[in-house]
Amino acid sequence: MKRRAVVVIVVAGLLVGAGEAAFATNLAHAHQTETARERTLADTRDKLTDVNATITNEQRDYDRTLRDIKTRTGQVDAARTKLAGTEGTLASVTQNLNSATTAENEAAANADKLSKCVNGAKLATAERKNGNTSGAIATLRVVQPICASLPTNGDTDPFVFPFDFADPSVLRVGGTYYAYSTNSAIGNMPVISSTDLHHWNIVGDALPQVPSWALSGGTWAPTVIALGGRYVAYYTVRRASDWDGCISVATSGSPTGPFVDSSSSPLECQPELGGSIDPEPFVDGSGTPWLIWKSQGGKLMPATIWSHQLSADGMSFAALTNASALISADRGWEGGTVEAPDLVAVNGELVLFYSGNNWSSSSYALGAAICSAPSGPCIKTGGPVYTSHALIAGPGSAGFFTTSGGGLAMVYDAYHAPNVGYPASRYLYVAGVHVSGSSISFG
Amino acid sequence: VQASADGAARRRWWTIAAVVAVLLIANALVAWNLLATHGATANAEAAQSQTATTLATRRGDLANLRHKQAQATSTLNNKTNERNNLTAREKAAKARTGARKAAIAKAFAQINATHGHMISLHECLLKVQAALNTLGGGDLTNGSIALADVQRLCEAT
Repeated sequence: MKRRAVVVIVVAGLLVGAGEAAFATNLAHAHQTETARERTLADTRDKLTDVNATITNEQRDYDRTLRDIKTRTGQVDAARTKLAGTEGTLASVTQNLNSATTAENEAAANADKLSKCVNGAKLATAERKNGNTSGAIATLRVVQPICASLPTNGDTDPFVFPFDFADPSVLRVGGTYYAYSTNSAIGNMPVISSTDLHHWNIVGDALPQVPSWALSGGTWAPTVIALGGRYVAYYTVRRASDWDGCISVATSGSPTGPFVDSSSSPLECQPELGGSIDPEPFVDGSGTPWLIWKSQGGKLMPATIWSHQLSADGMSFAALTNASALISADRGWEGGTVEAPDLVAVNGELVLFYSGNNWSSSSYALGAAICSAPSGPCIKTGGPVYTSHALIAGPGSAGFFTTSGGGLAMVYDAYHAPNVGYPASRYLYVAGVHVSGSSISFG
Repeated sequence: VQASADGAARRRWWTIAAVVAVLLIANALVAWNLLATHGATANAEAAQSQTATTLATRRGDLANLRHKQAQATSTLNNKTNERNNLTAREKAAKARTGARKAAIAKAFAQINATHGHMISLHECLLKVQAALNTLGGGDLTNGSIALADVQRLCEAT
């Protein structure tokens, strides 16, 4: 009994001991596990803390970068605006530079042309001085297009020929216009030609010789008409015996000459009236030629415009006819002078155009009178009908003609202001003429 | 003797009962400790899980932030390059403008000089034409004088 109790107690004790040992092991393991979990948690929390700190720092950097981007965007916009402004200025400046360069080149080209023009005129002048008229003409012929191409510097109504071309008249043959003038460096009767009335070429001297009774170097105001199958030129020339201005006539088979004057005496002279100048032929509706001219005027009578019927060939006055005085200088604006007449039939009217006042001044101007017939009477329309304007000073000595288009036009001479008065050049101008009743306009 | 034996047996049973009671109390304490430890472990695991999730999220946030930062840096660099490029172009345009303004001034100076020369030439041309007209009109004496004046006055042109 006792032994059995001891055994039971020992066995129970062993069982309890084993159970307690297992229990203790379990408890120790639980503690180890818990400790490990706590360590892991602490480690994870440390990492989280680090990550949060990193995020905070990098967020600050990111915010700063965003602010920098905003600032940089503003700078880009400002730079773009500034660049646009500068490029706009550059474009404008470039355009100005192109204009300036063009103007510079044009100025240089014009200066070069002007220099050539001057040198050509110098050479022609020297040749003329040495009696080499043909050389002077050749030189002027070469240099004339250069001189004519010079800029007009805002002159809205420029002259059309760059050298002296006084007392002009025009003859149209088909589509070609021939203009003649008072003697100049080009010769006794300079002739130039054009097909458009704006661009003219020097042809030469249409009257190389004056008749034996006349002086050379004083042939004025020629006018040429086609009459009887030839060309007839009426012109003023000084008589050698008394230096009076007289009218003579020459003929040619060509409008450019050479015209030959085989006369032994003047066609008209009127020495008692100071001489006869400025002849202008007129052919009336019946085909009868007339000559209109001016007597210089003197003690016996003032400057007067005359008319006289010509023979059929135009070489003399018609037999049994007399000259008729058409108008005299009697108006204040005329300054005692009427001259350079031209009788024009237009729109059923017979209009006598003439010039008044001093040809060597800006007071020179164009007047008009309405005539009943070529022999008169004529009644002046009033004051001058064409006077100085803009840079045109002293317009007058007009020659009228019909253009190839059928319109009425005139050539006239004028100084180019401010260079007025002999020996400055009287340049050639062209203008359209419009007549309606007694109303006359130009342009 | 019987009584003595009974007393000894009774003492043995009390001893055994005391040992058993002590063992029971000790085991109860250990069991309580074990339960507490398991609870703490479970809490630690739950906290670990939540913290690990938060950590993963924050790492995602960080990666996202770094990506955005990289993009922003790239944008900033582009903007900086663009600004520098525009500034350089503006500077070059300004330099060209200055050079062209200088060229304009030079051209105008040349134009003025040419115009001055042309005025002299034109004056000369008028004098030459006057001499030519005088000679053409047959006045050789005055024409020759005028030509000599022209040669002298216009020599510089």
